[in-house]
Amino acid sequence: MTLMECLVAMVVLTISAAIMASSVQAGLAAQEDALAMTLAGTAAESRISDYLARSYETIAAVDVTEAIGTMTSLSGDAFSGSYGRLGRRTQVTSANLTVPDFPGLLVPGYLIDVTVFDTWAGAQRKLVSLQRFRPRTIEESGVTP
Amino acid sequence: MRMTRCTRRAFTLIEMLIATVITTMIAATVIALIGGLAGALAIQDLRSEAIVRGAGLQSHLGLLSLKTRMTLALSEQRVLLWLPAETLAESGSGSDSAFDRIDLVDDELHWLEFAQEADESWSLIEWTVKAEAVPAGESAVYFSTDSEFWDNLFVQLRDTDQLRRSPIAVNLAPPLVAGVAAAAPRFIWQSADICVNRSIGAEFAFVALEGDAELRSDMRMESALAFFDRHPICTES
Repeated sequence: MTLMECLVAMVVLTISAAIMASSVQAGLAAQEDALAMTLAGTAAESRISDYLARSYETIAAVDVTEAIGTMTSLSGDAFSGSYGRLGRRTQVTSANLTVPDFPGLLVPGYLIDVTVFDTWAGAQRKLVSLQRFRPRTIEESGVTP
Repeated sequence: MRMTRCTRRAFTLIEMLIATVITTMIAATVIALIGGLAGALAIQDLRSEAIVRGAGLQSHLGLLSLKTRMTLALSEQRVLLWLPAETLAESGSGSDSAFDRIDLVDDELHWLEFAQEADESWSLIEWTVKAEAVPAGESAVYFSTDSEFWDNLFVQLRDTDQLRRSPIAVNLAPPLVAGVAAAAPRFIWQSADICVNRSIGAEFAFVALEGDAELRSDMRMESALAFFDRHPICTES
């Protein structure tokens, strides 16, 4: 084998290794995104649960953004380490729900909209957005059915 | 007879040295690449596990919280969920009779427990009553807001082999809370008062070892009790 053949082999090997490494890197990046979305889903669900579990009269319209790495539960507990790269926006608005099968029926309540985000290439990226309606129940309205 | 003379010459020392250097460089590159790949695969394994098992746990917790009307006992390592056998229409009527009696053979009680295994990892276990193991005439349990009562019932049923142990997740670890590893995975809730509490959740971590390095993914999941229904005894007390 000449020196030239050796050099060519080395170049070919290096290119193959670079391709392999970049494909693994791409796979890791995709998986990191998938994990971030899974965590974002639990963080969003957690905030929705906070609101669904509250008594109706303690809910108020808000628009709050927790910056990246500062998410807490309503009781003030900090989220654990893996959530450090996520932030969360919670919008609660007063809304009425209409029921298609019951014309004229309006169910008062709050629309809870939670968006979890991170940063990607210097810009904010939305990972998960969940919406849930919290109706005012008959018991909470004080009306006897 | 004519003698032929071999015209091929041997490698020179310089050629051998160059070849050795090149081979060493290639070997070093391949070893580094394999090492890097092994590390990357370990990270991929952990992430895949966290994604799949995390989603599975969230789904299971969601299903349980959909069926649960009250949490009867709350502690960091064990919670008791009450899933009444009565229909919503019956229990929603406010009738005391629909609630007074908990029937062990009707799968109304589900304990979730973080249990430490012999290898020091943690498992999330769901304990349910084995209907066939409950002696005839001993299936009625009357409602109590005393968590000690439920803990004693759990120990009694477990020690007499009347509980079915179903692992929901294994190889769990304590989560990092505010940068510090907690002593154990734990359950979380909205209120320690069972007559008020309307949510249940869990905090834990998936951990894998890559050489000396620890790879971890912390999880915190919560779910509201969709059909929370306060037992009449809460109002009476």
